[in-house]
Amino acid sequence: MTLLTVEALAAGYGGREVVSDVSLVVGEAELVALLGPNGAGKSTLLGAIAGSLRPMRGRVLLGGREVTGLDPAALAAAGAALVPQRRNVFRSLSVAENLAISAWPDRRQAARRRDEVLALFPALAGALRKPAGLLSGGQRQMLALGMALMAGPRLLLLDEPTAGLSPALVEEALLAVTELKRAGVAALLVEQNAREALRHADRAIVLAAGRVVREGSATELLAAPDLGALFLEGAA
Amino acid sequence: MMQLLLDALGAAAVVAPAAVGFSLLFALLGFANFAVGAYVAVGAFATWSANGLLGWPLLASAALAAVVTGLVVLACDAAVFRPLRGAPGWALLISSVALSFVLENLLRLAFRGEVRGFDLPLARPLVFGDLRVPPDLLWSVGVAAIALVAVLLGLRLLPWGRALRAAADDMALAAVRGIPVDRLRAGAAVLGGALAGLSGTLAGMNLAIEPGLGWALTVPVIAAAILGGIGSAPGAVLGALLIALAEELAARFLSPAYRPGVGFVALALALLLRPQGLLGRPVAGGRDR
Repeated sequence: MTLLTVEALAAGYGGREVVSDVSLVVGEAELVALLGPNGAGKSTLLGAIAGSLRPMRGRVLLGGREVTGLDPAALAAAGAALVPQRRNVFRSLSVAENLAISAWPDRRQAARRRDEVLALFPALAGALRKPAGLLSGGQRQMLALGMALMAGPRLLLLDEPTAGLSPALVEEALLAVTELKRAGVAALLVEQNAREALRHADRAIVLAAGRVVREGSATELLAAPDLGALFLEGAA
Repeated sequence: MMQLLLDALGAAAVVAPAAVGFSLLFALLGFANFAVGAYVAVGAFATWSANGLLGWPLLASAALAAVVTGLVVLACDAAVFRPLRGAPGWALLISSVALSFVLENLLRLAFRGEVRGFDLPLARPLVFGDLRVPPDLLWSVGVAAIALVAVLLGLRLLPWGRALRAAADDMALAAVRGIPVDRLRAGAAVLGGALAGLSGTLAGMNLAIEPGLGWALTVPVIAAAILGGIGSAPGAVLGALLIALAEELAARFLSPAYRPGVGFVALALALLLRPQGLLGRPVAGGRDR
């Protein structure tokens, strides 16, 4: 069943269109990777869906309800939570405080959701008192995902969760993303590490110069002989 | 030496509440609010109005002054700084200096520029050997300590306190996580103002209460907040203690004339050597692991 529907979305900066007429869907508990070379417009598209950037045209629907142009906080209340690329945890707060504060929109569910998050990411359970700024990169991504889950979303919008991580930690971060499926949460994942992302995603959408140029199941795209030339080698 | 430490503690009690308030305002509203000295003066006059005019006890007057100053700072934020939100930091900083002059002259207009003093009973200092402890110093340190411990515990334990710390850490992320940042900004204005108001009460016990009272405290307050680390309430308290101690040392071993310069030197050293402050986190983070 379709959860997120994006219809003919256009977005950009200062009147210049970076992304044009992009349409896509994400199903319930589906992990969809949004791939493409640098400058393809992946983060711009995610920003326009997440409400941190106002779309120029088109519509965004979440569970059939129009959410076009809602800011990230309102979109989170509607059920889609953004996980920003870099500054995605409160570094001076402990892990426990980061989780508690992220349940703000629905604090009555905080204890139950915290238990669910810790069951999903057991590595966090042993670091609850640690300031988030002292976590390893992989643990920090787990915490960022856990924080987004504390509001009880149906969809996560993930902006390059492996950015800045050493190669050894990329796998750890993407495994954390795939854990979301266990929690029944769908995700739209913007990712530079294309091969790694395809190994974990259900489906992928490839952007180039602001348009969708390819779409298909992750296994199909991984096996496609022409994809390396299009973006994999340049982007990985 | 004990006397010097005690005097430093008394001076720190005056500076610390306003420094915590300044630090909170800086972290939540995003600029150095130089009107903090004027807020202290508002607190001193509000206290005097309740204590000197209405005959209220000093403690009740201090509580009223904290509320009044909190509301004044909230009103100033709505009238002056909210319309400028998104403007560069220097524009907000200059506006805060202008606001200082406006508030100072409003106080001059309202209170006719006369020098005032609280209605306090004369009391002999308590003497322990060479140590002389004025009762009002004990009162100042006690009230400041109780207020600061309450604020620090509130910031750590209450949901709104945690939200304030989260927003001070990263305002954009706080908004993304659904925390009502506009209400937090208003809360920070009231809390920061109340703390500056308390500093006004405590300053009024030692200094002549006149509209320009806050200028002498502006630099030590800002220096304490920056030395401690912007956004860190315990840091601001530590900064106030260190600056007060340095002021007492300068007064004792150089000359009392050097006391006002200590804040400037501390500010310069902190910005040169450790811009994130003693308990703040680095301004530019290292590479992610």
